[in-house]
Amino acid sequence: MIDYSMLEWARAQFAMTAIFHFFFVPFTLGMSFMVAYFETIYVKTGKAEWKQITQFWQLLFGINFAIGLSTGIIHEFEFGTNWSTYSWVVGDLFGAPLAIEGIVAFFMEATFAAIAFFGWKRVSKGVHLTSSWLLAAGSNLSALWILIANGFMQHPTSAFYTFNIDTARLELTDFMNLIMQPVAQVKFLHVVTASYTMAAVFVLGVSSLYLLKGKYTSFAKKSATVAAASGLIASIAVAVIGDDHAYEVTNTQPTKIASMEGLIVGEKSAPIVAIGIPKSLSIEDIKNTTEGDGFSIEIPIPGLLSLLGKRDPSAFVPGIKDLIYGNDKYGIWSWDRLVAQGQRAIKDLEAYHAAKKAGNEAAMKAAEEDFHAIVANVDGVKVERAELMGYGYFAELPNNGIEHAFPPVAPLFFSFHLMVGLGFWFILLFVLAYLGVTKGTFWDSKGLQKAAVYSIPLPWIAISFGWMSAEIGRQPWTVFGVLPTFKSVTPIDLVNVQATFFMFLVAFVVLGIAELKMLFTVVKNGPKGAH
Amino acid sequence: MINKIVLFYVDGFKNLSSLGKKLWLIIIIKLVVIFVVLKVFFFPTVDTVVSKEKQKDLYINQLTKVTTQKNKKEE
Repeated sequence: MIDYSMLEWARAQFAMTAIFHFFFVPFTLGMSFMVAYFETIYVKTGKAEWKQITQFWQLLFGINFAIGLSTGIIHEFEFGTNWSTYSWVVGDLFGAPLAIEGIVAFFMEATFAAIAFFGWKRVSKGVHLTSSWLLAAGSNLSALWILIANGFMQHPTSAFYTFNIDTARLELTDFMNLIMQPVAQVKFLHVVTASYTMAAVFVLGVSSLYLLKGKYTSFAKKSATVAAASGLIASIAVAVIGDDHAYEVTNTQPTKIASMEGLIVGEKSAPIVAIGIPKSLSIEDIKNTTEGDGFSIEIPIPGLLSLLGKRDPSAFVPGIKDLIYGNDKYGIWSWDRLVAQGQRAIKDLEAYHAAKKAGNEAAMKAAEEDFHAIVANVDGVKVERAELMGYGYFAELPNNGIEHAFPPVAPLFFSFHLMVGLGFWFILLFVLAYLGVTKGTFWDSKGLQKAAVYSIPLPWIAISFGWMSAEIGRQPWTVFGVLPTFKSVTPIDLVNVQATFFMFLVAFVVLGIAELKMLFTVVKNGPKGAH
Repeated sequence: MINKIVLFYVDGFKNLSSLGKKLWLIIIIKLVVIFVVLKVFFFPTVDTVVSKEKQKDLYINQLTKVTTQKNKKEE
């Protein structure tokens, strides 16, 4: 039987630790490059003021780096205790990028962080600058490996793994295909460009605060100029890569995009609802819906979802109803058909191990062949029955768990649309700021400076909404199609998860307060207090 | 060469600012909490207690045990 209370607590704990960890990570990714830009200007110009600017922003980066350090390790513990079935099935594959992240990227960061922070008077300018750039590269490489692991969970394909029926574990078959999977690549670029935007908003906001107070104006003007230019490039890049990301999601995780856009019934020239309130629909409501009807209030933009998701404004985009009840016209399998294939794969796994115990090699071979039989061909990619095994577990639930076949619409719709809205705000902010600093009008524009100051927390909110869209949108799976979330969890006592949940909550709140207090103190003391 | 590297770190730690000292204290407390308190008391390693073969049997049993609605009605 499925222990839902354990499942929900384990999910809540992972979500909480991931969100807190991710408060630190993007700031580190973005600020490391921002510091490297400032130092490059210092080395090129040789002016002491640029050194002071570099050291001030490096200090703020250092606080975040130190406080956020090792908060991600808690996830590794959780994989072992709360998600042991998941770890058993995917550990050999998922562990590889995580291990590389730990060995290469983490040590790269640790080595060059020491030179960047301790080396101002000990190494040459060139060595120090190289270290700052390598520290930034190391931080960003960490994100690459983590997002390769996450990309596999979002869209696992036989291009890089096979399911070993004997060990009941996934095995990596093609390392390059794992690295180059398009889902992971666009996700990585989307995350790092969002992180550069975050750093640019922070630098622009703090510089604007000094301008509003009439303090450190030369320092603030120089910092704001670099932030406005880099922020403009980064915020536009986030949107361009975000578009590619949405295209990948539409074609690899159609239930996610249908839920994100509240698309109940698939249609040609599918719209994007720019502003709307999704209705709370039961599975019966969805079954009886014939067209549209997913929103109480909506302002749709016709054809935009087809254009962005299929690169064709008149293309068909499947809705939730098509994806769970099937659509023969477009070759979409029903949920029940997928569950039946999954059940057969589970039977094969069972038959293989029963035959192995009995020493019946012929039966073992037959079960293995059936397990790996090609059951579908999606856009030229062959799909093995083993890849659909996860669907079989939904037979444990009433009506084959059809009401769990897609992610919840309202939280996905709002988190995704708020993230996109904030993304457009950052573009507008940086267009105005860039024009302002190039024309010299920014320095007297109190309204724009205030907008920059109030925008400081917004990138953290946007990035958290982005993660919620990605991870809630993957539900009901930990590994799409292979392993449902409810099957991934460890059958342990609930009290263990509850106790550690509150311990982590207290630890993260304390760390968060410590970070904010230190950041505020350094910003209040200004650049003269740095180093 | 090794002496130079060691001296680099020794010198760096000796000349830490008060903020730097605070940050290192936070890092040390955090690592002690994560690797001593949490790891030892809340996330013990159980691999050494249960053999790999037993683990495999346990997970295969878990992955093949599906109590369908039809089975439940028959029970």
